[in-house]
Amino acid sequence: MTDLTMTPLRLAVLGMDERTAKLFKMFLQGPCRRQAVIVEDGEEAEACMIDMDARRATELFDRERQTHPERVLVLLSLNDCASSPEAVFVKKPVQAQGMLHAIGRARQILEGRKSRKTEKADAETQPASLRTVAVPEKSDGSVSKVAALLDEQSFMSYLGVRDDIDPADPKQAAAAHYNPKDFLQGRFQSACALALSRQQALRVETPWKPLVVFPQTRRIWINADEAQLRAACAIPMTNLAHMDIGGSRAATDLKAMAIDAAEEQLDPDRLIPLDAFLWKMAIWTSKGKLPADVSLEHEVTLKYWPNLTRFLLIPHTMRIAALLHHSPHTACEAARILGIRQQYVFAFISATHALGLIEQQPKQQIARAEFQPSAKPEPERTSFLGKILKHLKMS
Amino acid sequence: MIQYNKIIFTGPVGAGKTTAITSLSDVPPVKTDETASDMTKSRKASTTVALDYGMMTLPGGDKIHLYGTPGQERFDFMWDILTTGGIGLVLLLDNTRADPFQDLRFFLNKFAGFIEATSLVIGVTQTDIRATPLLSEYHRQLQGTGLNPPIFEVDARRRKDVSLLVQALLYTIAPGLEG
Repeated sequence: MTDLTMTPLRLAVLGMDERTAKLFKMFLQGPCRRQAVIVEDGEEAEACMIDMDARRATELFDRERQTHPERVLVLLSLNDCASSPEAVFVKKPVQAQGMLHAIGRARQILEGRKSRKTEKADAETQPASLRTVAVPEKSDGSVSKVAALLDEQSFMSYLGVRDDIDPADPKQAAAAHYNPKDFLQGRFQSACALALSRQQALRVETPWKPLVVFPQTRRIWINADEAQLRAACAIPMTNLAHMDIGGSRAATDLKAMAIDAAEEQLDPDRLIPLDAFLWKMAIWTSKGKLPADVSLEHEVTLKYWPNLTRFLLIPHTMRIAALLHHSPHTACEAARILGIRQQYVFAFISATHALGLIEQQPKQQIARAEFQPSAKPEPERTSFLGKILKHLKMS
Repeated sequence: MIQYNKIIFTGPVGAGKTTAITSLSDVPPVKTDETASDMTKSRKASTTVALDYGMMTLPGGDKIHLYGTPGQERFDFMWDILTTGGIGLVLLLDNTRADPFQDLRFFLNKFAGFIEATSLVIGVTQTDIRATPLLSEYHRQLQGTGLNPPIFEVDARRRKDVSLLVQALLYTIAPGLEG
């Protein structure tokens, strides 16, 4: 049996020239006591080290995430970074202690995945009578159904960094849009809409994996974990059509059929709330861009607050929701008023658009007074409310 | 001068008011639960007969008082007293009740003045036991009332859920708030 704590961690490298890679090889052999080695054949690697300060690092990061979702990413950067669940950061200049810590953390992540796989396999092979052991956990509510928070660092790690755009520049405006129909998101939205319109539980063959939709309870089932889903969301349909992933070759049309007896018996705890699923897909797919049919020139209003205790929260979700629910603004205006990156507002609008929660209207010709709530609290009171908010977020 | 430093939790019997306050409070909450002896008994073993009280202490020493109203209507004389100086209202509704929309209307009516003067958020509890009515149906019920508050699914035992609900309350009072 391979013991991960004894054998060197196999590392692939990206974003480094040959000389730097060679230096790293020596550094790992010497000061890092051969706790990790750079493998020549990248395919054997368990982890991938990326220089995030290199040109096109974000592109390299995205590609690696898509092609090798199983690998732990070790990210080198000059900027101070916090760890995200699936990546390990090492601050430059790289020192032996920091690198050893990162290697240890990468091993922990790999070990964690390995033991989860073993547990899953054990659970599947155990006789039915033993499965009831896990039942008490369910009474506390399924963690998978609870909102997860993607902080700014994680957002950028997963979705990349996009510079703010000038909405008046047609080139930049075009680059800030994506078409959900070009990605799985569009197909999944159509599949859900189809089941909801028929009000019948349907199994829908999508170009990736089949989706089972239960419209009465607004739940869906798909045989994919979070990482697989995230990776698949990023692949354009044109590329997906040439890949054989998930066991079913890409098809152009959706094929829907009534669910079979086995699907009727699906474990309710493995069903995902439909809205939370579409919301998450839109965020992974948009990567901080706007859907094609949301105009940068139009003002956007949030019709209803989304069910934020059960959705994936991106940075500043609550502030964006409150602002767009309070009064209409263009996407770029909203980012400016809140003093945040446009990509957060664009991702939020993508997610709410996927759920049909936004309305658009041409921008009012009469300039609206700059963000003046009808009964704006006094500064002293705002500061007091801010203190409460900080307390709630910190504790 | 009235100090606005209270958050009021209300809702029908068993909606999770006591639990929600316990989730947020920095100190062990004061509970006034008694063994239920009337109709309440069918929904829970004990119920709040006066009020629940919890507290959050902010950096700098300021205190936020968390008050839970008694769920039973016969104590509604206390509600006006409780809401004086309130920042806003957290209405918790139990999705397993026979008619949660009737509860919704009842509490909106009882607290209409307070809601108009402050702000409102709604947490729907027990959705893991009964998924319907869906949140979209609650939103539909509010059409025509002039109210369009945040409505979230909430597990009152989870601090994060209750915290997000109260955060939404603060943001509805002051959109753009930073904290």
